[in-house]
Amino acid sequence: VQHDPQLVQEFVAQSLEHLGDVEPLVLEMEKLGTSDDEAVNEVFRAVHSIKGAAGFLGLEQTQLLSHALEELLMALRDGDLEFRSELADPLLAGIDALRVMLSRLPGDEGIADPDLIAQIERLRAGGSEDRELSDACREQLGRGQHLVIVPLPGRKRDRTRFLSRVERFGEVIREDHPEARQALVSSPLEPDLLAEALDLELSSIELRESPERLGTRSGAGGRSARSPYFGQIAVELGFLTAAQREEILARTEGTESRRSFGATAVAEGYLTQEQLELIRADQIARLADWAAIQPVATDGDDLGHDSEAGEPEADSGLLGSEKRPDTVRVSVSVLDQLMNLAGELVLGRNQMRQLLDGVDVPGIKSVLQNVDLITAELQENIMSTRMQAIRVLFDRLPRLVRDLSQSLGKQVDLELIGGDVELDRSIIEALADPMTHMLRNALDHGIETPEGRELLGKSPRGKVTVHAYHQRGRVVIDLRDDGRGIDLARVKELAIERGLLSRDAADDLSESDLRGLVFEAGMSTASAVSDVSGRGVGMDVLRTNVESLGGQVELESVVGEGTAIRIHLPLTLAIIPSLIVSVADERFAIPQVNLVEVVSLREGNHELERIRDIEVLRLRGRLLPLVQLSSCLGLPDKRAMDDAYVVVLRSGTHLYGLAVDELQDPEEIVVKPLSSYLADCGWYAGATILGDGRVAMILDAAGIARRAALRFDEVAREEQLRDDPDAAPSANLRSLVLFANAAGEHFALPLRELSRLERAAASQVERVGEREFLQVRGRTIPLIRLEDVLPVGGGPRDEESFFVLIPRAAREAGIVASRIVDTLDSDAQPDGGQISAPGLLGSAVVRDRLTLFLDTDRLLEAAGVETTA
Amino acid sequence: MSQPAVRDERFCTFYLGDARYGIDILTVREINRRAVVTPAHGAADCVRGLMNLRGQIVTVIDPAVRLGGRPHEFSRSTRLVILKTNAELEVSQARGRATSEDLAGLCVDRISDVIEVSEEQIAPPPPDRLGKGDFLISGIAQLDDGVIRILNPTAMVNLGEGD
Repeated sequence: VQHDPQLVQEFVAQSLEHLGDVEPLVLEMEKLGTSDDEAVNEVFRAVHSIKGAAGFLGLEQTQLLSHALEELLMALRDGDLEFRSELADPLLAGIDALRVMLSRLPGDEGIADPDLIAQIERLRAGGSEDRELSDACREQLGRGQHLVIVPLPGRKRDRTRFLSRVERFGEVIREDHPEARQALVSSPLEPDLLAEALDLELSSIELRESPERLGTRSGAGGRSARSPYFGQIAVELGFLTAAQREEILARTEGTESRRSFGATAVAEGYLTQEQLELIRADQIARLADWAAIQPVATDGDDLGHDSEAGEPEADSGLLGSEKRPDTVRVSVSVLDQLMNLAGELVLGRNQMRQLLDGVDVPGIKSVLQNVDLITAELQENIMSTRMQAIRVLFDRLPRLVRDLSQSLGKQVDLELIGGDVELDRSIIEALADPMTHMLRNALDHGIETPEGRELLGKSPRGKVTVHAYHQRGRVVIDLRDDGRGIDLARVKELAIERGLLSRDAADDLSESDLRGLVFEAGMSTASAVSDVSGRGVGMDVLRTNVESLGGQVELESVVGEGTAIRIHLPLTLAIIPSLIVSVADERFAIPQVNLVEVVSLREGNHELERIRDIEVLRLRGRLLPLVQLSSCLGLPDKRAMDDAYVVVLRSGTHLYGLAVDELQDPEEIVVKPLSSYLADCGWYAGATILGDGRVAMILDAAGIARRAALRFDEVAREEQLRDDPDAAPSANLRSLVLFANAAGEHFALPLRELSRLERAAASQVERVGEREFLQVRGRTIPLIRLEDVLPVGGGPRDEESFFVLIPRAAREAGIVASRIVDTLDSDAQPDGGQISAPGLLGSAVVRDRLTLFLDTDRLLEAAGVETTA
Repeated sequence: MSQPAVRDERFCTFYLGDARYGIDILTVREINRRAVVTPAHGAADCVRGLMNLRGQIVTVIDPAVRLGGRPHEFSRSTRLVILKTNAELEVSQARGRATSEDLAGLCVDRISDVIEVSEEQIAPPPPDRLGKGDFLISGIAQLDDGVIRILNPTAMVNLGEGD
């Protein structure tokens, strides 16, 4: 039978979700060594619904395994079996196996491990104390009775009265304990009739077995939603009489292989193949309708029994439906498409704005503004649909910790905080491996054995905490253990031993440099290589992974007390700030995370050199390998090197310079993944559509370093050779931004006082009276021209574009500069004697020019800028 | 329209230089005219670059280069034959056909008519020629006004297969 692929997909997605939901419950049961009804019921329902749908979809192996699991869970639920910790392993193994089989769909489901099934069945049989009971049940069924589980009232008097009422309509087969909350009843009545007879909600009673092995399904709120059964449909379509249906049912009952109703009906000549197909088609349509109302196709099969756990609030059949109200499952590709269209809308808006520029249509401005607002909001909203709570990732961790601590012989408590923190789903996916690495490291290297811990006076149970939280617009994931910590002295020795460092170089390292060494390839302080971790690749991989996501890793450790690893991540990968550069009139985007700084070679302050055949840039005493983007990509060199710009990029721990022709404005770009045609070409990290609708490639900083075969080692060696210990930097050294105003006078601002540097076009400036304003990232800030505040020269205000320096200050404003001269380290101290004014610290000679040092806060105050609340 | 015994197939035809080619119309998503293609340096020669199709990125493949000829020169008459992706084919009536997982388009010199050809009119490609790009042609349609080479869309957009 050809099943609707969408239906299969839906089934897989929901089943996987259910399995993910119930796994922690099994872990919890194992931890507590006992099971509570609620949890067992929930696990049961998940497995049961998978079994039902698998049967419907003809997934025999999946059905076989889920059936075995279901039986085991049923035995637990009904008290035939007491929960023991040994049961956790096969349950978890079963969940894993189901997961594997499901994830192979829509392909071949594979084979359910017969050993696992046998093990599960043994465990179940071992526990079920009374075979007699099932014999009794069988006998009842033989007499055409329905077996039903009914809830019992809590109070003893009520119970006695209730039971006597039950006896009028059937027979109580078992009432487990004196406090039992339910009883197994055999009755000639259909469950819905019995419910009515006993004055119970239909949803609170449960059909255990019936002679037909199918029948009514307990529905939501007592309204019986009939699931689409094959036999029933056959009758409704007039292919079978009710009597024929009974006959066929009787035949399917006997067969060992539980042949399906449809197959039996055809084999026995009740139905033709065509009729079978018609019924199936009808069944699929009904099931789809039905699944739309009740999101999980729990049964809807012509085999398998039809029971539903009797919790009224969970009776819709959707596991935990009450937890996720008002949600719709939407495929990611639809969201991506929406995102694309929103981007297109922005382009359309821009084009419209350009066309309407200068056209005077009354009222058009406010309409455009409105379109602007709506577009921005639309994009934001669509972005938010890509966000997912980090809980998805956290949910996998308890299992991992359990398995690891078992195999390592350690006792570990895991604490998870901040599961609600949301991140882009692509980041969450990409974090799975790094998180696993981190946990492995913590358990393997960090946490000591219980005996070891006791000797140290610690609790024998180690503790690992994973904490996610927001910080300054980024997400931080903090993983700490209370284990042995990392001995930095030992790290240093190891690095020397393994030839990663010379002893002299190692002695010069600061503590934070030493911590950085932990992330180098080939470092591991575990004394023995275990099968869990310790080949010295984990931390290295961790750092690479996190950096490729635009994040950073930090490490803190105190010997004997523990280690904390902190990952800082951007909220999303889909929209990233980046700098647009151009070479030979083609534009490329460079993600800001890779960008360290930008240098103009035109100013002549930076020296280009060659070390043998390697081109290098000397930047503040550092040597950086330099490569031209044009030569990488085989483009014509439009400019001489000394007329180019160099963007300094970070690839891992290395820095290098990439020479480009022109710098353009920074843009927030939407990252589009590379097609397979470009995936392995190595230069690009993705593509994007720029504001004018054209496609630009996003450069891959690490890929360029790799493909251009930059020889970082050689350059670093050269740098070391040249290092002159006498030229120790002065203590007052600080980074300055030098810039010029329209009159060409030089000004300086410490780099750390600068919040951002923007480039703006004159056309973007809005005037209100005498004052000028600029929109920067959705905020309107006043612009300050130095000549208006300070006794300095002014110039023509007709530049097409200029720079805006936005200081890190309580007053938000932009200082206009016509040219950025340089950024450099200088120990020059301003002297207030020569030139003084409010807003000036004084003057000093920097790079042979008299330079005025700004006092930003005073300057903004003098310019009349108010502090922002 | 179609005779019951012989299956007719419809092809979108276009010119590469002076030669006329056809491609199964069920694999074609749309024909695009004003394409601005951003070159993708460093990719295979036949990958001419990327273009923006209403927010989706299309990889532009040069069929002339695939067939062993000179690269296409973009001009006013250049058209892009955008092919459906495998996922789109899967949900259309064109099941069983394959193109690429990614959105790809072919740059052609000039677009021509959509023609309907019966199966009988299509001859297998001549086996004796073994020039580069022969595996890309699945058949030759003999028409009154000339010959149309039928392109194999799967081979056309799956690089590194057969070559």
